[in-house]
Amino acid sequence: MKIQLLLIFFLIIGLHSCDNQPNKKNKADFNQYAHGFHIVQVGQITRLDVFNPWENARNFTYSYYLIPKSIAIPDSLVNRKIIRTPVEKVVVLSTTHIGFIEKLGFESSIIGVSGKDFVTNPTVRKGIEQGLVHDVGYDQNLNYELLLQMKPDLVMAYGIGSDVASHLSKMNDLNIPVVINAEYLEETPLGRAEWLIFTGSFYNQTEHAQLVFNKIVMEYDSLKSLVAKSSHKPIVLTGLPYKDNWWVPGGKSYMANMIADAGGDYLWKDNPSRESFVVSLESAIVKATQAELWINTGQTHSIQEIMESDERFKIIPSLQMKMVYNDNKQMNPTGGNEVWETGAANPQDLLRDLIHIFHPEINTTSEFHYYQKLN
Amino acid sequence: MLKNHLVTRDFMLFGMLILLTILLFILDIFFGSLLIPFKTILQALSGTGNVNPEIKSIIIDFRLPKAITAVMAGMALSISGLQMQTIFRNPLAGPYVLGISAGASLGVAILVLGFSSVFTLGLFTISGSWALVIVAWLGSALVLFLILAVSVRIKDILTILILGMLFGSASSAVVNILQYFSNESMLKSFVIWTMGSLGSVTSSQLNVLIPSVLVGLVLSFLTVKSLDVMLLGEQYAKSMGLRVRNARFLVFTSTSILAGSITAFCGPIGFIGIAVPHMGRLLFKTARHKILIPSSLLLGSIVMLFSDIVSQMPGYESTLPINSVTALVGIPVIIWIILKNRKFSSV
Repeated sequence: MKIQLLLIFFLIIGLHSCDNQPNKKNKADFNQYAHGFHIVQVGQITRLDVFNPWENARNFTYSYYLIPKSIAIPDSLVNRKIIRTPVEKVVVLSTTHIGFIEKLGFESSIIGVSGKDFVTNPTVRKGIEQGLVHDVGYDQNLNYELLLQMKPDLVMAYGIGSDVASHLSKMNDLNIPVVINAEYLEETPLGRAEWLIFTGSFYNQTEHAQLVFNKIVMEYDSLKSLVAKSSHKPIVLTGLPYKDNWWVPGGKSYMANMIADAGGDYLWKDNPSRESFVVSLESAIVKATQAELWINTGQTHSIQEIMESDERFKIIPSLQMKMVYNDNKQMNPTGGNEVWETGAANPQDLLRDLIHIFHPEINTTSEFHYYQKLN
Repeated sequence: MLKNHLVTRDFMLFGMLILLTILLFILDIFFGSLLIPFKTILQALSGTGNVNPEIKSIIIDFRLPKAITAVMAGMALSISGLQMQTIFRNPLAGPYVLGISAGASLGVAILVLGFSSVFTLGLFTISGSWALVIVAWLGSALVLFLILAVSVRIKDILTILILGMLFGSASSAVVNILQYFSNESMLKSFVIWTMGSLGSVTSSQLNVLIPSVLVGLVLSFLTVKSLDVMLLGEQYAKSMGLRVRNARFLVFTSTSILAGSITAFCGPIGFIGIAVPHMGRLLFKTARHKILIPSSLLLGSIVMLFSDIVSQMPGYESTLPINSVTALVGIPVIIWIILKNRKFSSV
């Protein structure tokens, strides 16, 4: 007993040192690729830290204590954010979380989603149809009463801006066990996928998650090495403008890194940002004229649709050559796109598709998983 | 003698404004993210010389339609603002006082926020870039018909003003509800629409926008005399033999076509419609619409072209939303005019 108290004491001390100096270098040491979380195991209790969990967050840490249901909560941790594990009833506020849970094989634990139309996982969809999985709303419209009724073991949230903190504290006030998942902020595809270990820890399956992740890393790296020798890197254009604003991924973003790993030459690769930024239609068009390939063209399913959105795109050579690929091959009937759900947890599949687009000569696959060639 | 002097002054002013409009139109085509030599621009516009087809497309398909749209927007919004200020005898009236932009916003909000699944089900792409234009037009037409229906029954012009504002508030309330139930990316699309945009109007859309604006302008020319009489008050106008309700009907139709078309293609562009008529009054020192209408046409084009040049931020990769620029560029001008003249010219 004394030893356990001592361990908990160190656990809390450790937390405070983290609160004071959450500098990037330390965090990078914890995981292979991910910067946003850190797991400390002390005895049977796990402390899970999540750092700067929304865009432009600075020096911010959430700490969660994962305590097995089989043991009592130690007095010293009573006022901390506690999750009892393994979780059996989970509410996810992003479809991406479903992809991570599915990758570990626990999708039957999901009892609530946010935006049921966007779900593609068959098990979860079936649950929705049978009324076993509920839609809890989103953002400011979260149905707190429904959440309370469902008595979840875990609500997995995410935040684009600091306003999510108020939703989180409201759930804390209502004693709803909530954690924030910040995988989408990782800059590298493997960094995002490493959040599998974060997800696994709630199911007491950290080791299993580590094995799944190691397999992804091996597959990803071997695909990446295939294109390393290619001398030609095709120039790649991404996105579709809205009115005269063209939002493009930053040069250090997840997408930019993925394109580089697949042996492509991203048009805005010199941009220093990891977040998306906006360029004017004119400057985007000027750059687009150099591109050999055009990917991720929003919700369009054909070249005709792109032309209809703005007839002036006809001057873009990759459109004339019909070298346009979009990641919306797997759409469900209600408008959900599978890539948003399973893409982050399966970077090797995305990379394989992209290599197939950029370097068809390498012959990585006979069929696309997420992408399709637009005609 | 004095009258002759004034007429000469008016002619000189008009000459200067026309020159300024042409100069700014050329500058607007010249400035953009990409620096293109002036000679190349002239060659592309005239179709002579050997111009790189991509550069030519940037000039002909992107910059030229944008400059023409700026002129159209400047003219249309200024004229409808002038008409509303006169008919309501209120210096703060503008093109949107009847709730036209609120109606258009409602149409767009229903499309962008209300039926998000419609986008993915393909309805959006069937109509392509026209979808937004059509719903915005429908929204403003709906408000127009309500106003017209009311205006033939109700005598008092102030009642119509109040009803217009109420229709506008009701539309905004519905828009707010739709916004409340929308997710981030839908909200972003809608907010970008409300910021206004000149560059997304393509040549084929101009083929619809230009005739619409011309129809609205021709209607406004027909109202010159009745607007002059209405300045004296509706009772007086009636005693002069003016059929007030007919005149009102014509003015409302003209304003709705002008403001509705611009809002449909460019989004709600603020400030121009309220400010430009005052600039015309102060510059020409008159309340006669024979002078105020052409001067608002020119001043509106000038302010809009200048705002567009500023919003381009020549040399930068991104642009500023046009709606913010019209306000930031125009407000200092108005303040300067007010301070210089000691009083805001009354309508």
